[in-house]
Amino acid sequence: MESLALRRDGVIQDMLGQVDEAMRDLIDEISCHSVARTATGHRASHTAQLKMSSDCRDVLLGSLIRVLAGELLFPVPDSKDVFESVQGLRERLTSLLKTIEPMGWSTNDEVAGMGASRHTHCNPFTALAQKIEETARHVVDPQTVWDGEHITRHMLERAQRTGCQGIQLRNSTT
Amino acid sequence: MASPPLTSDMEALSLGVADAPPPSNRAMTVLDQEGDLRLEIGPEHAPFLVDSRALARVSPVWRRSLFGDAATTQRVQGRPWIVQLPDDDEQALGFLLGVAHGVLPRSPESVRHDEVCALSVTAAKFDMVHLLRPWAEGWCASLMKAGVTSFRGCADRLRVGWELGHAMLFNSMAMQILTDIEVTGDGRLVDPDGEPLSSNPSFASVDLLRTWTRVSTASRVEC
Repeated sequence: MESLALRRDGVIQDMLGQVDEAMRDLIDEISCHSVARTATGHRASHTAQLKMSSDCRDVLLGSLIRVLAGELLFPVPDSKDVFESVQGLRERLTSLLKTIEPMGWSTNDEVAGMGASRHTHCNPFTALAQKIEETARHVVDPQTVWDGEHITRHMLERAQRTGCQGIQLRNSTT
Repeated sequence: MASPPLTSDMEALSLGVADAPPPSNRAMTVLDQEGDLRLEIGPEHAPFLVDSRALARVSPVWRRSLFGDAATTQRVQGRPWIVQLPDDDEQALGFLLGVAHGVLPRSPESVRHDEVCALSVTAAKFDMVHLLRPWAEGWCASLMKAGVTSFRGCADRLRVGWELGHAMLFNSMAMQILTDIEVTGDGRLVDPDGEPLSSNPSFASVDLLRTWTRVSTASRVEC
């Protein structure tokens, strides 16, 4: 026998794990690059591409932490501490990943004389958002279905009559 | 209070009509001195003297059952009007009848957690949930704070959330229940003791079983 909740927890864990992994990858790359720069004395012989990538990583990591913290998702929580639906979390994560603008890149562009379009390949979050979408795409989780028309209509009708809290069916256990 | 049987609140109740005075030796609870209807509630036929119009005013279910075209009981001139409700909870329905008549037989604040479930279910059955408006939010908030020690307790509170429209209680209990229920090989949902959820009245009324079964099927297919 299997538990429905375990399935839900697993999917949420997968999605949060992907975000966590992306963040750790950035940290690792920044660390490695710093070591490399120290070892080479940060010589001017570094290519412009390498320097730009390093700047991008810094900006990306900072931006990611900023948006995650704004959604109370930093440090990345354990799935047991997430009470919203799979689809709700998917929507929230993908939306916030798409809001990460290349903040600071335009300044660098001016210095480097490069167009913003040159940075599209630097942004890993588009792919991450797609990956999260894929993870949650086929999952029908119970809380999402509770938002179905029949149940929502029933709860709202009863709430109007009893004065109870009939709104916010999702995320309401937090 | 035990959970009364389920009845759609859109249908007229099936009321038992007594031709002769019932074999009850219980003292009559008089909610209206001028009452025209005697209700006998529960297996012990606890008698309540009520005003039929007062009930019809607060609930379309009572109105249809007592006065509608499909009324299952009719008053006969010269005979006492007696309606038996043997399957209903005496305390829960008695409380609701009292509120409908402006009489509170006991303090609503003294209602125990386990009694809230029977009250909610009975109120829904007779379409009287609006009478609980002054206390519904407080009861549900109290149930939210109280610890739940059993699956049955969760199921009862889920039912309360459903009947009173308290989304937070409903959501919270459903999440706890989801951690406990399991899916059998043939796709049935069972509680931790292996009992089918479909046999539990709390789930039969709440339209979640169909949903959860569908979810479990989808998950299994995906896995």
